[in-house]
Amino acid sequence: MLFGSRRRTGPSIWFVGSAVVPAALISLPLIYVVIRATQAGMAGIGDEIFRHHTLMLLVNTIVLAVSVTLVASTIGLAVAWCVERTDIPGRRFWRVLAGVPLAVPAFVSSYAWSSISPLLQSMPGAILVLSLSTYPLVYLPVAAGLRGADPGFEDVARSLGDGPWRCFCRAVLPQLGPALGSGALLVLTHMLAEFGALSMLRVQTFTTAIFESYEVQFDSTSAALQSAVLMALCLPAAYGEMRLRAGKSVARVGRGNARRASTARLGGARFWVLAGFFLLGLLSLGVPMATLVYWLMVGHSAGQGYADIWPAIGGSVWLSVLGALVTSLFAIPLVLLSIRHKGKLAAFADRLPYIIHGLPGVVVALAMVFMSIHLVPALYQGVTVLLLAYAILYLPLAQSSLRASAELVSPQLETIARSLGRRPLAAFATITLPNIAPGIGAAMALMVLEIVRELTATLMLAPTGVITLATEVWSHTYDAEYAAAAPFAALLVLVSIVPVYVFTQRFLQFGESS
Amino acid sequence: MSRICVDRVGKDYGGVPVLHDVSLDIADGSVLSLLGPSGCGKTTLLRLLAGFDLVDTGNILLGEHLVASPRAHVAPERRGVGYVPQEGALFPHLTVQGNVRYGLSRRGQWRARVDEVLALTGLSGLGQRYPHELSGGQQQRVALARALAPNPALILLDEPFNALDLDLRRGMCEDVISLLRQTGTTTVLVTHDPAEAFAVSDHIAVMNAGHVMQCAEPDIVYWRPASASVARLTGSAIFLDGVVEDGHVVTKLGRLPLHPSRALAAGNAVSMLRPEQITLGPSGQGVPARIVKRTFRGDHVVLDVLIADTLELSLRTTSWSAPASGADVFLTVHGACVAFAEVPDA
Repeated sequence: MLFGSRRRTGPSIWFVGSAVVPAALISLPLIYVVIRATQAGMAGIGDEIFRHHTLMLLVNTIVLAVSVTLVASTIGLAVAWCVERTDIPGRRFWRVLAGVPLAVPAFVSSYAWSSISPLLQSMPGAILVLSLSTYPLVYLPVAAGLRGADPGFEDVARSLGDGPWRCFCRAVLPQLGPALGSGALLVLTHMLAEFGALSMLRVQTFTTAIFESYEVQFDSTSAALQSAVLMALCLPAAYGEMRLRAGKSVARVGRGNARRASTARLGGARFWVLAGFFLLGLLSLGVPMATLVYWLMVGHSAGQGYADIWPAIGGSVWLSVLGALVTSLFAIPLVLLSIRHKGKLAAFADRLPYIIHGLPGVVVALAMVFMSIHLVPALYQGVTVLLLAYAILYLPLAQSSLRASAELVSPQLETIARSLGRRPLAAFATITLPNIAPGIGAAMALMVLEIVRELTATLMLAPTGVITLATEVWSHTYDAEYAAAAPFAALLVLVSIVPVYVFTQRFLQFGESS
Repeated sequence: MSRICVDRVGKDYGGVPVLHDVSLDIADGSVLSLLGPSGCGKTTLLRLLAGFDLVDTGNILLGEHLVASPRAHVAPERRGVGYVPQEGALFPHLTVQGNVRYGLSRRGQWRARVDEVLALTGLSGLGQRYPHELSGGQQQRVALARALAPNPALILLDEPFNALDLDLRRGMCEDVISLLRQTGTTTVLVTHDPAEAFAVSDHIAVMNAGHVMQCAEPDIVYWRPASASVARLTGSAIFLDGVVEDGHVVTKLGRLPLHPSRALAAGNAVSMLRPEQITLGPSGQGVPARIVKRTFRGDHVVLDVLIADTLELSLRTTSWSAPASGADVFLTVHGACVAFAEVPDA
């Protein structure tokens, strides 16, 4: 029968479901914190929060996060300006090199530095090491912003009597505001959530304390209350980032921006700037890489630590591939919802990643442990829980990398498929899916490589006996077996090259003529 | 069998009404054009016919089947209505053949049908090409072939030739419609180009601001528009104040006969003439006028003439015999006119 009527209004049940499931997943950490706080009672909360220890953690966390953000932003801004707007010798080389430290995961460079001297296992050491490894997060968007900025403003400012320095502050900096702001907030959220690097550099912040309360002291109430405070710190930063990005004001290229900005002549300062770049390259890449090579050779001569390499690679590969699959399953309908439909649900789907972005891995992992024990004990210590944690943590990445390819498929194609007699699901499967498949493939590859670099959730949730490259680096470093950690760290750096290349190219190509 | 009946259909998006009480009756095998400015609701009506959107009020019947009403909605895949959108929207991952067979049942004689439709649309031999390997005109023909393949009773064309350049567009539209007539498919064509609508339609529904203002044969819509705005939407028009008396309207161009079918009560009215009804006549006969401006346009000349020092009109005349600016001429009015009681806004 061709005809037969049934009326249904609103977005399809598939879409509603697809938004509700991830929303439920990401609300787990919140629910967890609320439940545990209720169990502790008002008195318990007061005791924990106003403890001297908590105050110390708060001070450490804030000092570290704010200092690293400031130092990294300063380095990032200075490097971006020198590379984009001065006649520094070897501009093209420095432009690419300045983004490379991203390829070294923070906990790997921390491992390298902490193996050099225990002196670096301190707050100043942590600020130095983490600033050096996160400044590209500011450098890349600001450099793109400088290329996108309209040089006309600078010409006008100079013609109105501003000197170069005043011109930079009044005409250039305001245009860079969004790029600088989003880069700095990214560093801030990373620092609030950072665990591996800090535990190797022996700096106590909320993340390391939560891990210790949970793993070492088995004090899950303390862990939960510390998580609550940490989330209270993270969410404003995530909100700020969301506001900045939602405005889409990040480094937009004006049409007809044909002329490149003029470059400043460094003159006599050239030597000092170049020396600064050499120093930066030495500290951010040279030292960690040289240390890594040193420990590789020591380890090789000692002949130790190589037995676990294959199990660790295997663990990394199958966890990250499954993690990427699960994350994509959650992300695809969410992406389609946010680009195909309008209204509250779609706006929510759009914002979800920013909320998640503020959740530290350690809190997500803790919540997953608690929820699995109380809701589905069968899953506890199983791989499902870890995969769900990956799905929560990598949903933002999946959403942003899938979105671009999904936007290329016109929704009209699906309506035409329906007018040709296919039901909605069949139309999706035969038309939309084949067209976004290459994009999904690329996004999944990126996710796999990012998940390989993940440490915190893997460390806390991996089934007993499963090891990965990241957990091996951590546990050997924790036991001061630096040579044993080296091969795993080196493999992580190799694996990081691809995702970092993709990420860096996106910024470096911005504002280029072709 | 496939007479289409749109009965008092209304639709609004988020509280903004886009269609009001639209009624149309489309005879089996005929070609109807929806003509109107952008934003008038013509594409919305098409989407309601296809089933992509839900109606808020009224009914749509395809043959004897109720396919849309506020309580019932037949999904687009169950309507058997072909749809050709503006940009063609070919499935980029499928070849021409893959696109055309998409709507056909996987069992049965699909291969023969694909070949038949490709031959019909002049695409034989291009079956293995991908959409990006085709020209714009070929892509539109594939979109048409794809819509035709399942043998739909009704086919909807949403400004399908817009993306093509003007030369190609006119010819292509006429080819496509004659092909659809050959197959006996009922067709609804959305367009904003009156010339295109006149050339190919059995009926034209002129739409504005969500209303169908007139639905009739092309020459009736052109010569006897139902209102001043229909007159404007369907071509150039000259409006003259006048007084109706006894089947005629008295204007500064003289006493003009009204169309017998469009009699109007005596009194003040506005009459409408098409510019080509006024020509330059022999010296001494008709209405005296002076040419105040002459604009050469290649295949014709636009003359701005002043009548009795007060009324200025723009006329068209052939390019090779047009008098110079400043010349005194005499105007003759041909044929009957229509008049409206209401005064059109400028």
